[in-house]
Amino acid sequence: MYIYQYPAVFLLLFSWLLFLVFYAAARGRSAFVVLLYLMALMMLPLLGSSSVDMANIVSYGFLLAALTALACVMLAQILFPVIEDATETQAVSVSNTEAAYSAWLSLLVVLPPALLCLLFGMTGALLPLLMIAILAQKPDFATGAAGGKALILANLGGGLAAVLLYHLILISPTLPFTVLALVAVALMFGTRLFEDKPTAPLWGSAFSTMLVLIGSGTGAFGDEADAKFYQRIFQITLAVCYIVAALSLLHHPRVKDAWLAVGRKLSRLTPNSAGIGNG
Amino acid sequence: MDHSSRQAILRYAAGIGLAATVAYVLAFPLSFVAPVLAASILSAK
Repeated sequence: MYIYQYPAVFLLLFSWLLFLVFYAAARGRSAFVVLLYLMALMMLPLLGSSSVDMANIVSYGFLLAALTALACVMLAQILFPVIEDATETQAVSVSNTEAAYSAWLSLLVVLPPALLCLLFGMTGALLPLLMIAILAQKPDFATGAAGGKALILANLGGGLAAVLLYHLILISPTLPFTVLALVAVALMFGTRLFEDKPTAPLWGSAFSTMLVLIGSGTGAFGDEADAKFYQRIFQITLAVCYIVAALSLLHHPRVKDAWLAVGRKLSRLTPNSAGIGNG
Repeated sequence: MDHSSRQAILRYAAGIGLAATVAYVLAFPLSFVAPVLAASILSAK
């Protein structure tokens, strides 16, 4: 909060931290850790600008949610252990240059809406902001007509699945039904997600969208229901459209040259120059 | 679909189901994030 009173310092620190997180994501760091950092970076300054108490409550809830997720994943690992496969897939190694290029691209997409929300204290736009940050982690996927269309379709599919599940939960808003319905949908999406197809990650993205919508929109986990549910779907669709439009614009040959030149200049300022766009 | 893929799908669904149950029962602030985080961890191949 102290730094927040100095906009220039805050802007530099915020941008630098965002860049580091996207760089770590591009270098293949744990998706869970990257997601935690991204959510914390996006949520806490925005909430803290309006209320420090709210930021504290969110930090506490966030920590509990992360611990819960870890404990449940460990339990799921015990129930269904990983089978060692002889043909193990090797981690794709990404060079510093490629990672820096990807992180710089992600930062350029995320920074404008993040600063807009921070400047005007738009706490209501937290969900689309988070979606933008999460989806911008893999900027290469959403570029091009086919990739962009696929991403929009996947998130619309997730929204549609959320509407169906939401109305089913409204019929019987009980714990066993909600959990069993979620498990059934997870099995359906999981079947597609673990296929060896290039479109497989889209199913994961669609399911995450569905989980966010169901979790934040139902009485089960959230505070409000019906009216805000469709508003959230609209917000997420807007966020996805923004991602696709921003990445398509940044990949336009003339625009690309301009932002790559800025990236190269900035990378020369740092001792451990990553050399953006030199590769 | 091989056995390891089936295990991965079951693990994915079980992890999300467990996280959703805990989130529903404890109902702490931001508890709905727990299944999303669990899905994020378990979707890694």
